[in-house]
Amino acid sequence: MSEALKQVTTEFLASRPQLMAFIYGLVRHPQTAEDIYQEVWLKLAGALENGPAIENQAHWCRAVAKNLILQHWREQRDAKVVADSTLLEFVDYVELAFAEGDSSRDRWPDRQYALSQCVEALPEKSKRLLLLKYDEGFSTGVIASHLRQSTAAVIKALVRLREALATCVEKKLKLQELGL
Amino acid sequence: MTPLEELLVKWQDRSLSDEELAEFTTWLSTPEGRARLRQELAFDSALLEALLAEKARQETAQQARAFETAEVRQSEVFAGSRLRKLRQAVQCSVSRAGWKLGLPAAASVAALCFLLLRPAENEPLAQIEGRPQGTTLVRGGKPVAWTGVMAVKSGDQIQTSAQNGATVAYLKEPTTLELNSGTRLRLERTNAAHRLELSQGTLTAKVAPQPKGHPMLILTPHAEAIVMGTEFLLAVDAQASRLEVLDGTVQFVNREDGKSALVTGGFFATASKGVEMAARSLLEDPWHSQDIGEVGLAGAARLEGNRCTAKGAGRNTCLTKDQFHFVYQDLEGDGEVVARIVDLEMSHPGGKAGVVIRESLKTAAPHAFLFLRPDGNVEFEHRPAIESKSDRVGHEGAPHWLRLARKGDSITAFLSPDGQRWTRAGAVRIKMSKRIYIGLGVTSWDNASLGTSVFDNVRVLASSR
Repeated sequence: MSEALKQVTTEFLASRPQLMAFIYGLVRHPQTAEDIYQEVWLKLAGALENGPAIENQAHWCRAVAKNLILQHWREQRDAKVVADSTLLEFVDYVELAFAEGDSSRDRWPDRQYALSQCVEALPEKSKRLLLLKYDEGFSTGVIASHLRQSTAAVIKALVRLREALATCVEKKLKLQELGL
Repeated sequence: MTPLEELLVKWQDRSLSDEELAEFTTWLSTPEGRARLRQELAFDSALLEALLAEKARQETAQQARAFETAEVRQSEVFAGSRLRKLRQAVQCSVSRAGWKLGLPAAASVAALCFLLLRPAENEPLAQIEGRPQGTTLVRGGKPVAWTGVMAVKSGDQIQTSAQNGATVAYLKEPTTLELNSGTRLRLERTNAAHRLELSQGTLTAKVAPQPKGHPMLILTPHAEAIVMGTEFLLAVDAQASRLEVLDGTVQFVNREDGKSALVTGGFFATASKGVEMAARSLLEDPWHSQDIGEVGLAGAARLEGNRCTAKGAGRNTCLTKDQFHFVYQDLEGDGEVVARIVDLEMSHPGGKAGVVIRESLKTAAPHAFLFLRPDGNVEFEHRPAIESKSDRVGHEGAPHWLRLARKGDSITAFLSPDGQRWTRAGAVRIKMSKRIYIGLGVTSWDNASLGTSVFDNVRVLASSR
């Protein structure tokens, strides 16, 4: 591996949380998000070999990821959706939202670590609910039917769990700041 | 719930209406809105990573526990831990009592030796579930009086009545034995291994993975079955012992000539005079079965008359590729498959079982699949060419009668509560070659476990034969 590629790869891996958040936020499917993320790296490595240096790597990767997401939707034959100008505008805004976050200091690794600890401490039932939603990608309706609950109850449970986890993360970060 | 949270939930559910998407987009036109969305999506993504890491951690811990169950409980290690306790006890009594009290201390040590190193044979191995009528437990040649919970110890014999069967569950592992009526079975534990003697009747067993080097051994008058962890049926009569395996592998040995066969899921073997010891398919022509696509665990099927038990793994049957277990016949031209689902055992809500028509056995073949999910939803999935679509066609209470009929390029799905009155649930045009594959499909939506479905009234009817 050349020195330039090594450097680009290091930066690419370091920015994984932001890029994955962008991709997963739009495609809502873990495996597809992972495939697109890896495809971005292949294109990045190809661009490094064949073209001029990339000035803003994070921006470049997001743009490539956006195109891959749109291509994925087209392959899903959801042409109606892709042609929808409101949706394209929405995707552009999501891209802009992440571009605006490039300069912010979000403490991604700390947050990820704290969140892992909070998730580990959750009751099994809550973990199962979150896995059905996030890992399996089931809609709240399907989960509700599986758990024999109403959709509203499932949504409420998910929102509360997210809130509890967010509070837990903030507490852990605070303790970390205090050196405890 | 805030309006943004509501919009986000709908976005995740892919259920945003055009108006809601427009509202969401307007909301994102402000920097505050975008910052909030970025936070939410970043949290979602981080949560996914954390959940996957936790899932992997739990799976690793589970594998470690399974390994411990299999390896650590073996007698040497177990004895080792007892010896450690004994050494500690000796050190403790010596340091406390001093050598002046050597004799009483030695006596204490001898008593501790007896308590700690005594064989664990008298511990219950299993228990008989419920109180099956007519079942007798024999210990030391005498029937044991029934108590609240009937514990089975090493050396006990269970005899079921001519009318009723019984279920035996092991206490330290998830192994269960189903004894049919008129069955006589003796349970024993030697070293780290289970030894069973089936002298008459039929035994259906789900055996948990056994410790390495210590398989469960089942003896019949004609054969030995060496089991590492599997699901099977073993039937004994005066002339023969027949082993049918649904999951895993069993080594089956003819006791008379010592010849053996490895019988895997979907196969059977018979030990009897004059019968060649060999594994044969549980399905007879014209039925066949195989896994479609890259499933994590091999599926299997067993057919008795028009009743079929099928087990299958596989992640899914949708979009562009399928992973499931397919029990099928070849069919030339038009025809139909009918089946009633009488039992569905799936650990995952995404599991499916139903009737299938496919053009080929390739993973991405054009197909139609009318199936039942564990939650009672019935869906009709169809892939005319590259990608499949699925329509929910009902939410039926049991019994679930499903029927899929091909006529030319048209495939029609029907549902029925009784097998007599059929309602059309959907129809698609799928161009397939004249020769197709038609039958039953099962997928667990989980490559780490098999889902089981029991069908009865299974029939394939050809219109042009």
